[in-house]
Amino acid sequence: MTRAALLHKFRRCALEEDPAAAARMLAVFRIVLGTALLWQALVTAQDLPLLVSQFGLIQGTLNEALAADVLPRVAWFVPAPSPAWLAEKHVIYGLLSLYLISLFFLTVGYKTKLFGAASLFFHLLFKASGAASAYGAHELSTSALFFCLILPVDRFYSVSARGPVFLPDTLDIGRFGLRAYMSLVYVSSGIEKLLGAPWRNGEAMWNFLMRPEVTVMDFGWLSQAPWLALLGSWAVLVIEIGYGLCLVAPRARLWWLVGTFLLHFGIAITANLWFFSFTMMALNIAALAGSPRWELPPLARHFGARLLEVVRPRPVSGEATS
Amino acid sequence: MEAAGLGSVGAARGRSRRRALCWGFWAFHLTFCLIFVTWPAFRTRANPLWRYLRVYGAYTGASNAYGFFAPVVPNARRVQVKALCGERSIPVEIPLRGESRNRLTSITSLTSYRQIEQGVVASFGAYALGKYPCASAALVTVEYFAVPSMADYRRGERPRWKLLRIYPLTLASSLKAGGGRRP
Repeated sequence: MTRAALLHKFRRCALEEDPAAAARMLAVFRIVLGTALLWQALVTAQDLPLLVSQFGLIQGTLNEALAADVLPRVAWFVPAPSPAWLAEKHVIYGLLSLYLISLFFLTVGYKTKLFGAASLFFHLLFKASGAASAYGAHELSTSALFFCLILPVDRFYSVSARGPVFLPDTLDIGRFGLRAYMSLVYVSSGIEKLLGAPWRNGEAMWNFLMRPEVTVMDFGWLSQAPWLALLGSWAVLVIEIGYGLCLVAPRARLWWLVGTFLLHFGIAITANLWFFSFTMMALNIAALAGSPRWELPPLARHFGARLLEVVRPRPVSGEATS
Repeated sequence: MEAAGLGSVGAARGRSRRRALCWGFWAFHLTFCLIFVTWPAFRTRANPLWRYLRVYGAYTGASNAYGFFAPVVPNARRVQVKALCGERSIPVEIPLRGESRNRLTSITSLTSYRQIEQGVVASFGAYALGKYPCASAALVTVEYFAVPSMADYRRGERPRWKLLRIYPLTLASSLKAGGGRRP
């Protein structure tokens, strides 16, 4: 195969065939991510002083030690001899208000880059100030907010999008890069899981579902069907390790989008990790959704067509002549 | 015609330059992410490259590892606090619910790291002493949730909280008042 033919094959498999559809999905990503972050900020607002203040549940010095020293902190904005009207609590809620405003404008698509940068700044500020309580979702939403700055997420479904839509000629590279990043996230996590015997024999799924955070139901019954735990563990491994296929196989993208949605929906329902799950769903929409080569398999197409025949309203005879 | 031709050549050059820059950025970003995932030792102060790249990594989220619940699902941890007011022992409630509760889980999971555990425990003790001014000491217990294997569960064993460590904590001023005796 010649170099040109290889390049053509790579372009066909890895890059976008329909940039407009890709840009639409990036806009959906912006909206889902913004909504998830807004929801997270609102539901934790009441507890914020306990999580991020100098003398909250975790002492400021410990949070300070756990976070990267280059990140912004709430303490930066608290004056040293703090007057009564500008106590740490007031500063926290002032900064939270700015964060909420930035997230709102990012979500609706008004001056997206500016408010995206502001959202990232405040997100990092609260993450670093409460580093002891930050978890995976905070790390991944940091990356997601960064992607809002470098990808054209504002071309559709935004209040400032008027007139003809201009799509940058680097959109396909951006989506490929994002897909490669997501592959790195999932594949590295999958390989690390595969190295542990509990994921290979199903005990990991059992241990996860028996954790005290899982309150949706008692999964004790699973011990009577260990094969189900084994199946669940391997489904997670296949979804995570197989994600790399989406880089070069456009047909795999729909399947992996559905697979990751099911995985994260399952995590959200069982472990109440809704913020984490919606952040991951948003990233998967940005990376995988909108591929023009989405085709249902022949059997599903056949049944889909039959279903359409049944539900499609037929013209009532006589109506056309009256 | 000629001007239009030159214009289109310029536009094509601009396009290929933009695309090359874009490829370059993603190659850098992904290489950085990959290095961090596969080589955690890269993040040491002794590494001069890290000293410059840590800023980029912290602000872009590139300096992360992604092994969630890998290679094993760890036992859940729980921290319980009691404030000791004279003869009374008052259980201290941590008022976190919903999404904030997930963040509390994140805090208690830090007790798995011995080098951080004492800092976390001291913070919980300080919170209890701050919440109850009558308290002269606090008792912090660290427990873990032991989940039996599926085979053991079938034999009748059930998951339960098991005590790991108890930390008695008091104020430095109380220690001085007591002549430096340990509580």
